[in-house]
Amino acid sequence: MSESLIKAYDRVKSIDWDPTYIRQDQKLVEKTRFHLEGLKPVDPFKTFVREYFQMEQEKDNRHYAILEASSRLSDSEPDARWMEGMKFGLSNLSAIEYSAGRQMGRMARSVAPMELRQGYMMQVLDEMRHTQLEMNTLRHHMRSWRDPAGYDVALRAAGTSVGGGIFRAMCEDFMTCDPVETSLGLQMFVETAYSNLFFVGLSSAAAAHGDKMLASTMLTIQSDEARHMANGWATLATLLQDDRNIPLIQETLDKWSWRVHMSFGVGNNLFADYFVTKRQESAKEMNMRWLFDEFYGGFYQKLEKYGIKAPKHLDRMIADQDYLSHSAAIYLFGAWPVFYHRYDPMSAADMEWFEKKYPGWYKNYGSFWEAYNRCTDPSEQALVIKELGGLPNFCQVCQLPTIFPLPANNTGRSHMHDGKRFIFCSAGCQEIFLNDPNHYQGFQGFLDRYDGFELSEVTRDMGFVREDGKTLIAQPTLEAKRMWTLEDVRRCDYVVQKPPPPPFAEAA
Amino acid sequence: MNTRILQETHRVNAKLMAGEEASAIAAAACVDNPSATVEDHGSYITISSEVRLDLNIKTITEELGRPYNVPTLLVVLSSYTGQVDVGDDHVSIKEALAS
Repeated sequence: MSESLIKAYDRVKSIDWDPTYIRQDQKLVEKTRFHLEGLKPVDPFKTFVREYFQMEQEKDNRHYAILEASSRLSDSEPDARWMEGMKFGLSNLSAIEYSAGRQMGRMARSVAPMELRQGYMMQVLDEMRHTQLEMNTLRHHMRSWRDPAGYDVALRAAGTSVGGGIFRAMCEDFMTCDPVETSLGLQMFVETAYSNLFFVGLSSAAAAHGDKMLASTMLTIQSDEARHMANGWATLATLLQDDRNIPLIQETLDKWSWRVHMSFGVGNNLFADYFVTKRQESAKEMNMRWLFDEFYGGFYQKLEKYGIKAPKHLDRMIADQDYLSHSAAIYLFGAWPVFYHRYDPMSAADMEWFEKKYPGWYKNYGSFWEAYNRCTDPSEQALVIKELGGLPNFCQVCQLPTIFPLPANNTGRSHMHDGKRFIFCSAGCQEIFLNDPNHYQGFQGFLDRYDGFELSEVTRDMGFVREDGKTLIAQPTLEAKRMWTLEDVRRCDYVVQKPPPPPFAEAA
Repeated sequence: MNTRILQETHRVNAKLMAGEEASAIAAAACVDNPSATVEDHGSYITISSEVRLDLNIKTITEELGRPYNVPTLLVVLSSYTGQVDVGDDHVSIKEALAS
């Protein structure tokens, strides 16, 4: 009769020791402003290494069997709008997973009480698994999708494209902020709320569009997230035992709810509305259900008794649901030559659906799509970005273009700090900057790097060119009589220029 | 500025990868949890319940017709809403931060 694993786990915990080769003060080089001394953490998932590996091996056996079957037994071709969109969508994921692994290693070393450390260490291994699962999906698609260009440069693109910059900014903040903040931000907002929606909610879309491989990848990744969500709850429950942590928790939740809204939130909505042809729920409907009712409703309601209030920018986050996907699409489609997938413009049927789900859509966005459709033939020598009046400014914090909620009615603002002018997309990002200004400086954004470049030079510098050395990977339509080349873009003569900065505004 | 009142909710749920095991787990959940409902989303199913959801290995084994265990359940448990509690013979989802 085998001993209860739960009882055995408690016994094994007592074997913990302090190493003799390093002092505590030498080990804990990264400090936290949260109060952790004397608190009693609880570990909900009592996992031994042996059981962990058995479980993960079973997951991989099942998943890679699907991968194998999918390579050999494909019955029909998956949807092109989805498969092309995933060149952009998937490319950013591997670096995020790897970063999460680093973040957890940092937490296990620097702040974890013994009861939480096992969970964080398991998460390091999980994130390495996820990195590889996503890389294998990219490789599978590169080998099996009829136009592999874009999948082949995916990992490079994650480091250089504007989309990549948005996620890098978020991950690098996670890796360098207060380590306890990392747990709340990553495990609560990313893993419990937003990436939960992405991996589970969008798996259903992936399957519907014939991408069963990605659906399986997403669901198996999320099954590990079940333990990560528990890590986050365990950390939060521990912190709540000390009243001095309450204002620190509030600050952290306000910052990260906004940051994750302005990164994952934008991505989730864009994919759900613009990369699908088989429409079910709108991005707004999906978010209202998953995020605002289930997550924010369920979560914050429980925290009220500790004196924690709903996120500062919750009203804005909810109001944004009418615009997030559509404004993001204008940027992604408008700046198509500096990305790396084939675009499928919105059809009359798509536009009718948008007007139904988002009344007023056509008034705000219709003219963009009319302009876009006039600029798809390379022989016309028209670039939609020129029709739009050029590229927008970008936010110093989140790296998104300052076009939200609407390009014509955005909350972009300037702010003077230490004699320098900074640009932010919103009060939310401006506040994040002001709370820790040095944390958000010292790098080059897209406009810093490419101001003065003619557009085809930007594409060439980013490496988004096909094997022939002259055809762009990106194309404004799925099918074309002739594909755009660097020369076609050059003839349009668009030179990247920093636009005039937005007016000054206070954060409050 | 609109202030939407966040809906108060006491529902918890588990999301499972679609397949034979998920169907058996859903059937077992309906036996053991009076307020359980099941939604099919194609690639995954959601089992939802009021305040708590108990997934008991014994009942699942009966529904599935072959031996089952917690580590195998965790293979197909893709996600959940609430606070999870893993035991030797069950996985429970309870309301978060319930005292």
